[in-house]
Amino acid sequence: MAEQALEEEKALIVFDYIYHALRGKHVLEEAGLDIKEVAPPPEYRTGCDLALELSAIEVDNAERILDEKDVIILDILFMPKDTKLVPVYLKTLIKTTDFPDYKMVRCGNMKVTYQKGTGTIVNISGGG
Amino acid sequence: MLLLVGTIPVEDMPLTHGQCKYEGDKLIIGGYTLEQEYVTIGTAAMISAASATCQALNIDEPYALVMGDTGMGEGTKSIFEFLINEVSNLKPKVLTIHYILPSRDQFLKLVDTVDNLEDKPFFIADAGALLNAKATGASKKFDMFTPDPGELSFLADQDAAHPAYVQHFIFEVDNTDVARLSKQAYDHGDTPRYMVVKAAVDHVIVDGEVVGVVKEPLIPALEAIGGTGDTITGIVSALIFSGIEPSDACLKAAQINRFMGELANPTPATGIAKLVEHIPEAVKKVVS
Repeated sequence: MAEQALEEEKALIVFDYIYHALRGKHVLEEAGLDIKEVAPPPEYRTGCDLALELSAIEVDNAERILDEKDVIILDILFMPKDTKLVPVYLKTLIKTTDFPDYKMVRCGNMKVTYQKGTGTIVNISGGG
Repeated sequence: MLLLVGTIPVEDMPLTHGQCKYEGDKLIIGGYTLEQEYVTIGTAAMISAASATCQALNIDEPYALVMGDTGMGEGTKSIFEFLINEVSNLKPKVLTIHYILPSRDQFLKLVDTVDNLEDKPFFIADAGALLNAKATGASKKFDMFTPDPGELSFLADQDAAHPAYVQHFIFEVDNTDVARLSKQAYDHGDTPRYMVVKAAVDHVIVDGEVVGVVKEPLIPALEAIGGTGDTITGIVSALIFSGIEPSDACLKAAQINRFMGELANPTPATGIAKLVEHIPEAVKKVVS
């Protein structure tokens, strides 16, 4: 019973910089951990806008994996059970724009445009 | 003199300086001619746009200082050495520095040299020079930056020493963010007096405050085309060199950049070279 309650506790790993958050997601998923990308709630917001949510019982394991992979974390927060976190799945960060014959894929300000059908990249833009 | 400075990604291009002239399929810099895609890549796109603008305004062509650099830093190093020694002789009225690799000591030496000139030029930075200026705390020694939203995010992050490690960059920088980030960056001393930020809506910033925006014409395909930030830097450099007041030059440059796109009637696959060809006509639509 106690273990079940503990499993419901969530922890949040926060990072200073997005680079570490993305690498953290990659190495933890590769290690088989069940994690979600979330935006920290305002009262916990610190560091970059992407945090990783996981079961509280996985924190020690996750911290060890991140340390082994040189992923620098800012802090680990243990969240009250009723905390509502906003999911920030990477697929929502990568946006696509449809043109008649082309598709533009955007992540942040990096944009890659390819021709539909052939997949040939026709333009790359790093600006606004 | 309008002096434009930066590296070109051509491995064996020697240190080259001289009057330049954009001729559509080639860009002549002193005794060196860039052809094909190299006419509108990075620094060359900025120079071509400035040259085309000067031609339309019937003023002196820009003078460029460039060298090949494919990421090893040799071009950057040689450009700095040359410019530190020669900038007082060249006596630029407007000096724009563009793609260079990170360098602290040489960069700061150049900035101090320019700052101590008797007739200090209007000093503009974009791309690598802008990032260097912020990372070395030298932003206030410049008069203008021409950032895109990504670069603006870096300027606004007081603790970031590298553009790949910025906070609050993961979400799209919307129009509200441009104003907020510009103010934030200005307040902690990381922007110069003037900025033109090229985005979905272009913003002109003076002393950290938005003084103008440019939304039209809106050409959706332009967003996909790489190099339109480089062209706006070249255009605004030429307009300031022509004597137009800096904040007005920013507004006009943003308009010209958009008209350039409209006139080219581009698809998302159109290269920047096809847009630059239309700059003279776009300049004439905006500058009476």
